[in-house]
Amino acid sequence: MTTLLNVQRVKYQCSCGSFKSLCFLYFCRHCLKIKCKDCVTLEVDCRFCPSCYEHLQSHEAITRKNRCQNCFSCPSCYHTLVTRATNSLVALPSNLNITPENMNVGVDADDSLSNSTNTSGLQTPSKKVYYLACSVCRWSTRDIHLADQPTINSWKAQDNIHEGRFNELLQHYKQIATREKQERDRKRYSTVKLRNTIATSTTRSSSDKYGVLTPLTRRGIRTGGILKTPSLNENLIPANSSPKPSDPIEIIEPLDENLFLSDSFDFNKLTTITQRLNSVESQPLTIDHLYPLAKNFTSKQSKRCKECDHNVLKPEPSPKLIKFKLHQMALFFIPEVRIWHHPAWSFDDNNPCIISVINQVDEKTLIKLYTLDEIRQENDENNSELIERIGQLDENTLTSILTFPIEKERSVQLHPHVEPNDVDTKINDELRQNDPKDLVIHRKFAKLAIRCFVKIKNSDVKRVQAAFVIEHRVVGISSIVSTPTTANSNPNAKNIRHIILIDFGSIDEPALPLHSALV
Amino acid sequence: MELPEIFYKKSDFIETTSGNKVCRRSIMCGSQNIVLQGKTIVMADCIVRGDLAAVKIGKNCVIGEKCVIRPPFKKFAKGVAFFPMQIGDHVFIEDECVINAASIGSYVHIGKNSVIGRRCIIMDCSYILPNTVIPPETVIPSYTVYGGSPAAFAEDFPETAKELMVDVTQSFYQNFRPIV
Repeated sequence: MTTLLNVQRVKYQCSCGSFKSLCFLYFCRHCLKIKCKDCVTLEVDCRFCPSCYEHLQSHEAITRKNRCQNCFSCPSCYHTLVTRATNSLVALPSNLNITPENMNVGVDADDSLSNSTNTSGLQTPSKKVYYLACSVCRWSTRDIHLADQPTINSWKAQDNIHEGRFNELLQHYKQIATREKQERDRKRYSTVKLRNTIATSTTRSSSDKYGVLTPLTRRGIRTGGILKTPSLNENLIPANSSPKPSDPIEIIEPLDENLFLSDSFDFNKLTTITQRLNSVESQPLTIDHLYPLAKNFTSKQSKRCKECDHNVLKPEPSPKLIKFKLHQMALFFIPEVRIWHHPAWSFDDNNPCIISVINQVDEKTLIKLYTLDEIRQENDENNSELIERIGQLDENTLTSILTFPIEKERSVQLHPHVEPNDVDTKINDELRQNDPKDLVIHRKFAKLAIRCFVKIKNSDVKRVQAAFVIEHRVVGISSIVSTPTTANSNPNAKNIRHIILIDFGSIDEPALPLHSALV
Repeated sequence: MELPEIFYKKSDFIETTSGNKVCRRSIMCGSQNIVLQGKTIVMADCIVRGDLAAVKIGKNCVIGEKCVIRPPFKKFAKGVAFFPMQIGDHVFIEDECVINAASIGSYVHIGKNSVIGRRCIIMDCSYILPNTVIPPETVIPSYTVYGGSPAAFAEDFPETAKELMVDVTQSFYQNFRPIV
């Protein structure tokens, strides 16, 4: 739908300065600022397999290395592998070592035949076995001569020959991290009480060197160490147990130039770089060493404002639910602007365009529209930040100037957001009477059509891009709990302004057809 | 950008009491097995195979031109069996798609010229890029964009997917008008 609505054409400026489409932005109701995905911290809420939707607790998922035990990807094309069932003869010498030659007909899964007929026509007892196959590239576990399994999903993970070494190094670095942290804390704090508090946070942070659990850790510090993550017990650490240092290779054998010329070398059997890196533990060189890849878990994440640390988005913990416990998207608080009509572009005069403004808020909203020049001329101290931001806009970005038909006081009331079924034309008619007729040319409930003019700066312009400023009032959430005195005195309600950058498209784009409502 | 108006000849479409608009040039096989919940538009040259198994399409859906909707089958030792297909509400299927999925959730957008393999499950709020081929028995999780052949995860979809999709399908229905 982002392509149907061309949402990338209208961009709002985030508090960090970057321009993004409104549907991708969040809105923090505590700082009253737009936040993009770079201005929020992610926090993993639930981990699940994207294929079978198995939902695991975080510690359980970590012990399984964030991989599903039942679902596998094809090592060749990375698509999900499908389990196929087939019958094998019980009389075979080994049930587990079956090659395609001594198999019966490989039928699709779920057939519950317990007997099969062999070529001589005699009934022989058979046993069901399973193998994995890819429905895209036809790779199967039989290609690498992996034995079929007697039970479903009993595939073992490939042995990692470096596992011992990794564990050894990991232990070593954990010890170093703990020791360093202890030394630092000893210098900083003198009282016993403080040292005890920090000891809990020390062990916690040593298990999370890469900041994955940062918000969790931070909350843990605030709550005085209620949350404890499993970690090394300090008393058990041996003092000096350094692992064996790795041996550097001094002589590298030169590549034999005749290797590629000889007939024995087959390029088709070599794996690609991506295939090698997908199974990073073994990094197979030839295709007969590929092994099914356990599917990686995916996650649902809640998002937190980096500035005030409040949540802006919190999904429901169940992987199948699409609802959110907290859903502060910018679309629900800020009026949305879309391009409705533009003419075939002319360089000489003002091009009359129509933009639509849609209110998604459940209450009436008053919006004010400003051109960039008007904001620049305002000598208000509160506005210095906005003027600075406008100044930072590149002249190559703003290829045209957007103006409105009325000179001053361009304020328009927006109808509250309504479901299409419950229509009450009373407020709509009332609002329509107060509309400045030159500016507002159409009104239908929460949607307005606003006329504007776009003047292209010079004839070298390739894309028509213009910006304007919108002002509206938002009611935020105040962290201070105060007794409600009057309904109107919310301490955290404020008028906020946004710079909106509109990309009207290429200069030789034909005119958009005028909607019948606007005629 | 706002969706443009699309005009059709009134004689080309049948409008039901629940607001469904079905093109006379579409082929609805086994129409007793096809359920359109209301305000759904089926464009010209679509084929919906209700004769194979039941097809249930939710509210406010759009099925583009030359789409084929065919319930998925599964091979068994004694032959094949067809399974019913379900499509949720506010689903937008663009032109020339072949749909063989077992179920498509709500608020799903399928790009032009895509092929959805048999027994796929497309969860709510997902977007399939144009010209995508989804191999059989694939699960597409919520809030994701899938594309390519074979389909692979491309990027995350915004959390406003539901609201945008409702807006798109409803305004498409409002802008789909008969020529006066």
